[in-house]
Amino acid sequence: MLEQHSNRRTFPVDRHAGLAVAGVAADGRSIVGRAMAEANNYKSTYGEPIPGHVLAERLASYVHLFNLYWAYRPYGVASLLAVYAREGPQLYLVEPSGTMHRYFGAAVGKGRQGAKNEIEKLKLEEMTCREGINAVAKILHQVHDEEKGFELELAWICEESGKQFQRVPQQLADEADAAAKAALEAEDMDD
Amino acid sequence: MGTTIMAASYDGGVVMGADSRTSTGSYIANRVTDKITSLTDSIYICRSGSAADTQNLSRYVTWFLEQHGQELGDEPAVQTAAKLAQMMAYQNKNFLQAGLIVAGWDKQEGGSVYAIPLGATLVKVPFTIGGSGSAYIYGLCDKLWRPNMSEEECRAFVIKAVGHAMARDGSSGGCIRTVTISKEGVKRTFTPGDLVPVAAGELPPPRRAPPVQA
Repeated sequence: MLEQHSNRRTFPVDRHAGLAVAGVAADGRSIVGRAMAEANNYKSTYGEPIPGHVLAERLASYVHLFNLYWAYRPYGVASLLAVYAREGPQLYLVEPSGTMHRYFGAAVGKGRQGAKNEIEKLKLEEMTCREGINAVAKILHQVHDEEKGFELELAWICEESGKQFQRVPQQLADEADAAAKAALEAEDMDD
Repeated sequence: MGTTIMAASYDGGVVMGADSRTSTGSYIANRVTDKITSLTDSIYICRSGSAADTQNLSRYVTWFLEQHGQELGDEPAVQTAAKLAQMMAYQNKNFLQAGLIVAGWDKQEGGSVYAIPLGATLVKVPFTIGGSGSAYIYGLCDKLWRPNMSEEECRAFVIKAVGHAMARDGSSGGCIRTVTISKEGVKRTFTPGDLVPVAAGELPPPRRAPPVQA
């Protein structure tokens, strides 16, 4: 019954940065708001876009505060932060405890364990971004219940997107979605 | 400070130059002033206007850059230094008399020059001049500066331009200091007053005293 696209999980933070959040959706939006503020503030003080590790560290320090006082509850989200800055493309995982790590591949949310297993099988350093969205689409389908529908949402930062955070163009996303379904069906037939 | 300051970019970096006169009215309070102050290892600032204002502004910017470098885990960019100087100059523009030139070398942009004049606009430029003496050398600099000079050519250009300004401007004078910043690091030169090239047909400088025998 839910309106399509009314429960988004990926959000732009700055031209060169975006977040994907898993957990309490409202907390996720709050973190996105904080990230946007940090990115804006950094740019206006230092005159250049915020680097990935600085944004990740600042977000981690922020969510960490909510573990320290009895009046607050910790944030209910783990977030994946994607940045394309001077140092190139970077992926960070920020957890509610305040830890922050940089990854080549990461997954958060209910199906993370299965997804991580699949990511480990990928040869990330040989992959193009287009191949990446196919792989991501396939993994997302794999780790979801077959009966329970879900909305596939894809976003990327790469050379093709002009080093900017964007939703993957609808046509590409649909293709990836279809390819993922087909690949999984083919695998089922083999069994 | 009645001053002549300038900074010019060349192929692999920047040259900054300044005269060395600080006066209080008609009295020269310091004839060997250093108006080219360091902000970080590879970013410097040319100061003109009030000596007190610009010294303190530079100290603040140095401190902010130190903090920023700590968070960044890397050398701050010249753009960042210029932005911080501009913000301080702009936010306090009613109380300051500061004309600044920020220049330096970083690995993103190579050598770059930023002009921050009295109203605290921030402009990235290939070269710029500042201070009371600069009014006399706009034509000279527009004629002589060209892109892709060598380091030596660029330094010669700066020394010549500052020399001409010092000849015409009564509030500029003394010696010429330059700072050259490139990938290789920082080089300073010092041209004593009697060795400043005679620029506007003045009388030759008085002869140097002979070296003292031990």
